[in-house]
Amino acid sequence: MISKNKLVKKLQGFNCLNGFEFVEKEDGVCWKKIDDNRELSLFIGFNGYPGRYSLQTPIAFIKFQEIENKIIYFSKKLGININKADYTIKNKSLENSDFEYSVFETRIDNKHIFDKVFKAEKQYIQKSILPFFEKYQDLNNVAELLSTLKPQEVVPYIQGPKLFCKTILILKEAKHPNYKSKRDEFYEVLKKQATKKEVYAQQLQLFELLFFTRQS
Amino acid sequence: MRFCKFLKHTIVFLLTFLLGAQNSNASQTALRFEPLANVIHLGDDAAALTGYSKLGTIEEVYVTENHLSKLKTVEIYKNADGVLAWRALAGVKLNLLRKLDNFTNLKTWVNGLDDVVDANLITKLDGLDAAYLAKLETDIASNSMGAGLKALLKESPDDLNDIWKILKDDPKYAYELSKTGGTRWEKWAQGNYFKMVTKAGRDFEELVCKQAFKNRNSAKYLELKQKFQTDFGKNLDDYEMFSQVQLKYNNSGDYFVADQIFIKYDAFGDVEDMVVIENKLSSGTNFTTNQTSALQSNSYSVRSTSKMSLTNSNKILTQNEVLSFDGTIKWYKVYSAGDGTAITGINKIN
Repeated sequence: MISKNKLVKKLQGFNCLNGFEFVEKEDGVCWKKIDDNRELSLFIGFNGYPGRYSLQTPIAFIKFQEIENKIIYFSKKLGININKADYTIKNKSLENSDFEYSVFETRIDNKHIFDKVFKAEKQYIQKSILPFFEKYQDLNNVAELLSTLKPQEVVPYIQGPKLFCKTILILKEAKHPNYKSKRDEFYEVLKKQATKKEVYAQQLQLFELLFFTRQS
Repeated sequence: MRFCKFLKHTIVFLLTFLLGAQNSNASQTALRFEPLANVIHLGDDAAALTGYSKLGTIEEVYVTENHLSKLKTVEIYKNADGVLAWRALAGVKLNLLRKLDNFTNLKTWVNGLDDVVDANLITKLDGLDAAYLAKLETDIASNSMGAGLKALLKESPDDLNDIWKILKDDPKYAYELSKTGGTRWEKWAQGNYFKMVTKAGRDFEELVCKQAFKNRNSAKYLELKQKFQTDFGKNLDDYEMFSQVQLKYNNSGDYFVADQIFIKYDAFGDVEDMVVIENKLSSGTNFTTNQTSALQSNSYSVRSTSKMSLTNSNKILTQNEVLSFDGTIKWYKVYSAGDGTAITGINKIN
């Protein structure tokens, strides 16, 4: 039997996350760090009940305040509900790697599994999360990543209807050379989606306000 | 029994002394209660008790009023100015106390309840039959669970029928309660008595259902997929699976934990539909109050901090994200034969 306190203590001791603030949540643990204009966060969720926990795959987010502030400001102008717990981009899971994801769902009920899971969590953070934080230090790097993607290819990084506005706003703020061509490409797709669902119609309004008016 | 009589006589003598009442011709079986004129006789309405606190109860004494003596149970009160008062117990509490002669612990507890403040609890207790009273007597006599149980029931009398009775009828319900953290009953239902049941439920969810449904080739996934196709004309392969997701179903923040949830996304990651799967140790295990309420809602918002899909690691749920059913709600109950070792049935919930 492994107690929640023991799990939390062990996670708190991850020395690869020096400089991050450790926050214990009801359903997991979180590390946060604010540097310059970025807010970095990493979350590892718990599954289970007392004495029988499993740890989930770490999920990492980067919030670029300048992007989020603009989205919030113009969404409010249009009366669009926004999720304050939102992020700008999240890390994409490791592809084509030999990483064994199933270890994250293993029930931790003895010391051997306890050590195995923690080793995997640490490896995943070092292999996937830290390079993600390192690579996307400013909007230029993020813009470079998104500049060649079609809207549906953005989903692993930005999920949901907000991806249209966020992707193009990142390109615009970074003054990326692909900004105008991507803006027009995303606009056409969003216009089609807007005829199907209200949530896309709202994003279309926001898109037009952000990229086709002088206000922005 | 002898001790009880001794106690009763002692209390009566003590109270009659305190009240200055005349205690004459006390018989062996029942005593006489004759309050002096300066001891106020309170009315039966709740307002009459304002400012008074109860000193105690005297069971079965002859009360003489207007030269007539009647056998009654009397409650003695005192206010902040030291004014003493009394009233004869009537109605539900008296009726309940008469049923509790063989349940010493219950009787002591009920005697201590205020018939106005605790009126709802007294009514609920009065509604229990002898078999449930015997079970409740055992539970409240327990050193480990008794005090906690009394506090829970006093705080929310409706829980007597809504939770305690269900737990006695079906201990597997303890597992359901354990799933939604933060419920008032969680700690009580995690007591030794329920530990085995909760473990079996947990094993069923984690080692049986979750493993079966995240594997698109497993026999049980294919069975669920077939049922879903028949019931809703949709393909479950188009949905991504998440496990143990906390979902709020109203603006007050009330939530339940979906054991598994399948979510359909469009090409850009917007949620189009969902299917909630509830794992139960047996087909008869009730839904919790929160689950029943959630069944009435067509959309939920995510309470969990973040969740990654078990079938597509690039799909996540984030806190406050709103999930809606496409049209009608889609819930399935997946149950075992009681032991949690295998799935024996999958039923659509209407």
